[in-house]
Amino acid sequence: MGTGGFPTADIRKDPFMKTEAETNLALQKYADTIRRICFMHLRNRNDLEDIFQDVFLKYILYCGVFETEAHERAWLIRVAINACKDLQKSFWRRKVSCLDDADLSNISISDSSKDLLDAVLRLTPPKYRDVIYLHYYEGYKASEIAHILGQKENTIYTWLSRAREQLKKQLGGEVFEESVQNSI
Amino acid sequence: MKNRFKTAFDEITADPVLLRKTSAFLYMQASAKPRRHLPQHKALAGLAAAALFFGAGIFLYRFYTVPMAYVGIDVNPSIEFSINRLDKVVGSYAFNAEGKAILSRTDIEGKAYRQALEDIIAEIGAEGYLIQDGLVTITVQADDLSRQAPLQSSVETIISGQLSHYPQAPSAEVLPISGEVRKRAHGCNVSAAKYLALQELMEVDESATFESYSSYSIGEIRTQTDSCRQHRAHGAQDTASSAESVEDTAGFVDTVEDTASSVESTDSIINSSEACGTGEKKRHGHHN
Repeated sequence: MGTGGFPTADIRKDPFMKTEAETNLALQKYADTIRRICFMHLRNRNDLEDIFQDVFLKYILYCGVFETEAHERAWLIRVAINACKDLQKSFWRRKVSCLDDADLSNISISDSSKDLLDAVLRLTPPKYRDVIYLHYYEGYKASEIAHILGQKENTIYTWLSRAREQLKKQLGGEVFEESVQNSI
Repeated sequence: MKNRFKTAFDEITADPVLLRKTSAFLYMQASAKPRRHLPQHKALAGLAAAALFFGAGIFLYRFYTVPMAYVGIDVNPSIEFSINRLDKVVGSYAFNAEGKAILSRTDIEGKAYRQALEDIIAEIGAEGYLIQDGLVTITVQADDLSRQAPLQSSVETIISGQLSHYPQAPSAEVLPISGEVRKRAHGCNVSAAKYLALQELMEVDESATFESYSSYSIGEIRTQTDSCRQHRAHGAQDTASSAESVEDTAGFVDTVEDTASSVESTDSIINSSEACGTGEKKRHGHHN
């Protein structure tokens, strides 16, 4: 991964802007997470690059202090989800509704994963994909997901429950139970 | 053993091309942009067009961009935005880093002030600042005094509606202020709400300054003010009850026992005084 030759701190436009080291570290830590969130919402490479860059631009311009790495990760996740939602508010934007719609440029999906990922992308409304991803992959509890998404905890439980029902119908009950086995 | 969700999503990663493009993009955004030198004929054409629309532009600019009212929000993020005669936001300002962060994530300029206020409160809530024992202080100031009361009423309704979404909402207050107070607050680089709270504190604590307390939330400043008032009240009581002992001490007491008890009382008075200050200070009104 190239460093991009970031300017030193004293010639940054904004003194609150993140340094080169901080930015490269953030890319290293969170790029895959942001990529996965974009995967669940965006159809094409151009949208992916726009949103991906926009998220990290907001990160480097953010002048608040992250108390912990967990706080930093949660902040980036929320910014990414909101950025994807804002893009899709445009009426001519067609949303991702299955694996065929998703942007898989430079990604190779194994056959064993295709059914599961396709089932996740078929969840409607799209907010169910976020809660399923945050819970079963990132390992967040419902209370933590509620804080990230700015929702009430009970709302998250409802969304998770409905998402699980949809996934069970698509994958079959046994396959779904096996998929979430050993999840946090 | 990983569950299948982890295995499947592990295959979704950011590719090197995406990362390189992002690094390059961020570099461009972070560094100063070089000045572009226009060809002469384009520069002259631009000047001519600017001159042509200058007169009309000045009129429209003043009509749409001149602020007519100001709304300040102080939780710990400390923000103020200005509104034009059409109730649209024409400017925003943050008094601290937290406020700057909130403004960077809420694009409020050009929006109706009602929507802007809702967006700011929602973002402040999303960042976890709306806690149960907290305080949300809003100030409103309108150059046209006839707009002040309706603006205050509207803001109260909006705040009440927004905070009802939070089961453990903080308390909230909406204060009308004068233009003079707002200007003085800006001169001290604090919000008007914080300026008023600090004035009250400095009336009971001579050691307090704008610089030393500007990073405190209004709730914390008021807690300190209440604490200092209580100290002063207890200090006055101790002074009255120890008057006899102080007189003996001043007269160089004869017995060791009397000296010991009066030194104890004197110490407690000194401790109270040092905590909060005892100087007399003339009270200033909030509206000038």
